[in-house]
Parts: sequence; structure tokens; C-alpha cells
Amino acid sequence: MTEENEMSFFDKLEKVDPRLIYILVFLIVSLPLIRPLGLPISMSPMTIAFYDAVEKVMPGDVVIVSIDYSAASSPEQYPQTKAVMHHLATKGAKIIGLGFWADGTPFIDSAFKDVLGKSKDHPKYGTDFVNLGWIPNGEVGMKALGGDVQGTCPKDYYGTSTGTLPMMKEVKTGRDFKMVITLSSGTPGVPEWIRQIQAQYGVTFLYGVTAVSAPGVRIYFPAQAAGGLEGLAGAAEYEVLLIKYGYKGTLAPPMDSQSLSHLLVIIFIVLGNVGYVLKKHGKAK
Amino acid sequence: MKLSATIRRSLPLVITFIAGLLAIGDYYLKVKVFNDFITQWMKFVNVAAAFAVIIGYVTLTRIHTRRLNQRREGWYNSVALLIGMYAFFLLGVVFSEGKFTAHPAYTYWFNNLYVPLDATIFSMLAFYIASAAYRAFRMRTTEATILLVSAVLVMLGRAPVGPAIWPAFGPITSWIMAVPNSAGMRGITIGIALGVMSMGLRVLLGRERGYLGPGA
Amino acid sequence: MLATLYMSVKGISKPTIRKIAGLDAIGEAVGRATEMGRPIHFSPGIGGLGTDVAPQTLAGLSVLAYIAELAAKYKTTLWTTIRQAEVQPLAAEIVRQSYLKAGAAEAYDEDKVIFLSTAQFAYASGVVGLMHREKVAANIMIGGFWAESLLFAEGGYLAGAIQVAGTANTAQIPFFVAACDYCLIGEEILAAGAYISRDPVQLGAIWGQDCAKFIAIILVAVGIILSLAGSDYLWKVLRGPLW
Repeated sequence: MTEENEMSFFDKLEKVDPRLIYILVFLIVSLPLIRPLGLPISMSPMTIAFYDAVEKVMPGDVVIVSIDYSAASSPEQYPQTKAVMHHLATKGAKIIGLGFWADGTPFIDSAFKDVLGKSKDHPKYGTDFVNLGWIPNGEVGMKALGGDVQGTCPKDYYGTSTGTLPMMKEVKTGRDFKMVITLSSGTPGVPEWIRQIQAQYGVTFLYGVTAVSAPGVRIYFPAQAAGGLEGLAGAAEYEVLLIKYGYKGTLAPPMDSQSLSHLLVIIFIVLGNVGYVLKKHGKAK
Repeated sequence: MKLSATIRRSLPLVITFIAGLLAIGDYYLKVKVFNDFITQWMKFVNVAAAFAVIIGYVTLTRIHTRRLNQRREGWYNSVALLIGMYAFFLLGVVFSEGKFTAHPAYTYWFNNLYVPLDATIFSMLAFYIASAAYRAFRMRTTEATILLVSAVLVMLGRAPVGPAIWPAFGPITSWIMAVPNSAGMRGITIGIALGVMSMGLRVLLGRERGYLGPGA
Repeated sequence: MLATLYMSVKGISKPTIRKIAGLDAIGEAVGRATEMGRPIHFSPGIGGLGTDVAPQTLAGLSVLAYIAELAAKYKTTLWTTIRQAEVQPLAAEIVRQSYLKAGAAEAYDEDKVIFLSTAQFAYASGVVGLMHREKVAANIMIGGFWAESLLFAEGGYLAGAIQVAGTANTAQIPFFVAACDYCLIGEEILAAGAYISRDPVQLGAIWGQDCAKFIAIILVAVGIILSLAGSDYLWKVLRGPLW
């Protein structure tokens, strides 16, 4: 009788109801947002490489920031966008915001407003930054952009002719880009930019991706990509590095949530394996 | 003008072949006139591709108005879809005073309706990943055990809690990502690239006609 | 690749493909659905036909033809969900032709080849909802998948379906491996059409890919030896430009 109960306990350990897991994940993720733990954020080599590459940008360098993510991954990638824009603005770069995902382009305007205070109405719009909006057709659009920037984007996001914008007068082809930063959660994204722009024109290339995509794009470092921000953790690490430029980060509480949720998953994995091994051991006897 | 069956079958293949050759030629040939022509052609293709958005609109409207007319099960969901779809269209095109998606009203509804909805479905992954990891990571075989151990190490290394417990988790995770992960991913990526190249070659030569429909 | 294609088409050589468990399991999955009297769900991925993931979509559609023929033969309901509008007429025609080939033309229902939405997560929630409502017994997903892959895999698991999945998007392969019963990794899905149809053109193409992979392995080995010897000659040659 006791042995049957023990076996039943191991079965339960091995087959926890998913609903219990979901409730615990919900609690574990939400509680640190209400009461942060303040865990220290450690640096990854990829974030440091990204930061070092942007540090080399000189005033007046033309940098493309491509928003290649949708609304779904904006909670993970919009913080990357703001931090990158802030860093580039601090370095005096001329920022060209554009995107190959239709539902990602409103975030360009939002990022300019959040980082610089205004977008189209900013006195430096057109001289220090422009928003070229959505470019259709993915990789083919990238190829067209590299061949003829103004021909591919005759008007900016707000309907102004790009030829009349002062900073666009010197930007004709991919050769005029000093750096390309893509913030991407899928396709078109990192491989497409590398194929059509980085490999063709030898531009310095950086990426910011979701944590899920990070293992797949790591293969491009360091030959094609000079660095990368990997998920929310990458954005949090980058915020820490930007403190010296007065950047006020907001990702410490979400990183606490991520830490605890990782621990929870590990605990469940261990429990499941304990149940599995002990059940197997019980059967072997 | 009615085209013969042979021409109807062959014409798309000829167009595909010529288009493919032009695109490949642009990479290898550095002749200004030719490269400029390809650049202009790419811009034309870009504009044409943007019209693909209309196909989605037309198809969804057709499907859901038919469901509505036939009062199929869940027809009220079709009403909600059509209202949402056309409301955003009207906001972004008709009533946007020429600003399209830059109009404040569109931005407001995009940020406060569309973004939270999209992000919510994406966030379900957090729950599903926990239950999938719990179910899948079992020490059934040696390979499964290696997978389990490396998953645990990477999970600890990529969140602040890991280095807070033991600083070595960070470098261990970096090594796993940089060496075994990159090695495996590079191998898979090369294989996939060769597969795509092979498929492209077959499409170019007209040996792969799946995109034309069955019986092509 | 051209050489192997030619040799296979002319019958000079008859290449064979090793056993791929995932593709063999498709028949098992259809059989299970038939025994349980519950439907099958198939998705050819969320990529279209005009991008670099078109080969994955075409691979998915070639598997769809096979599944549709089996479903028609065994009189099992097949739901096919589509995300890209331009794929829907193609998928519908493939299913119709398969039903015709199986001698069950009258059983074909065009409403079961559904275009749900072009928005990724709207499509995902539609598919998960359908799998739960229809209580599918088999969920087969072959094509280009992105973030919604785990939503489908877990949704199918919770609906009690046997799952066969495959994609060439490297970031999503781990999710399918973890959550599905059978998984096709990378270019195994591109071999699916050849495996199922045994068409000489497709077999020749697979053979050509393997030869090209062999050449790539040799280049990697030579590169390792040269770089250990302190030479970057091969890297410079491969990096280009050629002229």
C-alpha cells in the first residue's frame, strides 16, 4: 500500500497540472514588478561589444536604425530602441529611422518622441534625424535601399520629400551609411541586412534581437556583426552602461521577474526529473 | 486574347528564369547601366509588392461577409473583425488628414489597442515555455541530459540571479553560446542555405513549379 | 547541383534518402486521427511565396498534398490554416486535387482551407482556438514558423494531438524538438517533397545538396588547418571580391 502511494506521488511529481505552473509563473513574474528585488545586472560580452561599437561613432556619422519588430515583441525590444537612440543622439550621430515591418514603424516616431522630446516638430528634424517609415518587400526592399536611398524612400514617414531634408542630401546609397543597427524579432532581420547591406557595402553592423533569436544570430559575430543586444537582458545591461550618459533605465524590476521565472522553470525541471528518476528506480526494483 | 496551354504553362517559367538571371547578374556584373536598371527595377518591384496588402483585405472581407450572410457558428466574431479592420483603415487612410499612420488618433488606437492585444498573445509564450520545458527536459538519454544541463546553465547565466549566486555562470553561458551553440547553428544554417540554393536553382530552371499550383 | 540533377533525371544514378522518422510518422498521425474519429490540422507555416522562406512554404505544400490524399482515402476531416493570402488559393487547389486523386472529390470542403489573418498572432490565436474547438487528434506543421511555433505546439499538446513539426528557422527548432512528438530539423523539410514523391528531380536536388555540404565540410577542414598554421588566405579568397 505504501509503495503504491509512493509511486503515485512520483507520478504526481512527474505530471504536475500545467495550470498550476501557469499560476505560479504569473505570480513570480508580477510580484517583482510591484516590489523589485534589486538584483545586480551583470554584463555579457555581446552587450559590451555593441556598446564599444557605438562608442566609436563620430558626430555627423550616418547611422541607420531599423525597427524590424512588431507590436508583439515591443515590450522586449522597444527598451532596446530607446537606449540605442539615446546613445546615438549623445554621440552626435545623424539617425535615419526606418523599418521593414509595417506594424513596427509607428515605434520609430514614438522612440524619437521619447528620446528627443519631439519627432517631426523637433527643430533638428531633417538635419540630425529623419524617419523614413516603412519600406515594403523585405529583403528586396533592402537591396533597393542600398542601391538608391532616395529613390526607394521618396517621402519620409510624415509625407515630406526626402530630397528636401538637409541630412539626406549626402545619403545616396548603402556606401553612405557608417553603421546599420537592426532591432529585429524575425524575418526580414539580421541575415537579410547582412546579405544585402553589410556584405555588399562593408558597413559596421549591429543587432538587437529577442532572446529567442539570439542563439541563431550569434553565428554572425564577430565577422559580420560587431555586437548585439540579446533580449531584455541585453537591453538592461546596455542601460547600465548608458548611466554615464544620464540615461535613466527602467528594466531592473523586469529583470528581477526574469530571474525568478528562470528559477521557477529550473525548479520544475528538477522536480520533474526527480519524479522520473525515482519512478524509474522504483520500477527497476 | 486566349493563350494556348503551352504558352500559359511556359510563360511564367520564362519570366521566372529571366528575372532570376537579372538578379544574379546584378551581383556578379559591375556594369553601371545594367546595375542602374536593376536598381530601378527593384524599386518597381517594391511598389508592386506593397499592393499585396490589398489581397489580405479583399480575402478577409470576402470570407467574413460570407460567414455573416450565412450566419455560421461564431458569425458575431466576423462582425467584430470587419469593424476592427475597417475602423483602422478609415482612421489611417480616410480620416487621417494626409498624415496616415502618423495621425495622433491612429497612433492612440495603435498604442492602446493593437499593441496590448499583440503583446498579450506573444506573452502566452512565457507560460507555455515553462510547461514545455517541464515536460520535455527529462534525463531519458545521454543527449537529453546534456540538453537539460546546458539549458539550466544558460537560463541561470542569462538572468541576473545566476551571476548573483555564482559569478562563473556568466562566462559558462557565454562559452555555451559562443562555442557549441554557434557550431551547431552554423552547420544547420549552411545546410539550410544549400537547400534554399537548390530550390532556387530548380525554380530558375523550371523544375520546381509548386508555386504555380498543382498540375503546372 | 546541376550535375546531380541531370544524372538523377536521366536515370544515370538513383539516389536514395535515409529514413526520416518525422515524415514516416505523418502516416501514423493520420491513422491515429482516423481511429479516434477526430480531425487533422495542417499548417504550411506563416511564410509566403515571395520571400526567402518560399522554399519552406513550398515544402509544406508538398507535404499537404500527401496528407490531403491520405485524409481523403481514410475519410478523415482535414483543416488547413493559412496565414498568407497568396498561399490560400494554392493550398485549396492542392487539397482539391488530392481529394480528386483519392476518388473523394465530393468530400472536399473549401471552407476547411482557411485563410485566418496576415497578422502573426491573430493567426496564432485562430489556430490554437481551432485546435481546441475541433479537438484535433493530429497536428502537422511543416514550413516557416516564427514566434508562434510554441503556441501551436503547446496548443496541440493541450488538445491531445500527436504532433509532427518541421521548420528551417533555426530559432524555432528547439521549441518543436521540446514540445512535439516528431520534429524535422532544418533542411529535412526541404527533403520532404523528395522523400514522399520519390521524384527524380527532387532526389537529384537533395543529392546535389549533400555533395555541396561535403565540399563545405572540406573547406571548413582546410580553413581550420590553414588558420592553425597562421594563414588567412582561404578566408580572404572566400570573402571576395572574386575580381
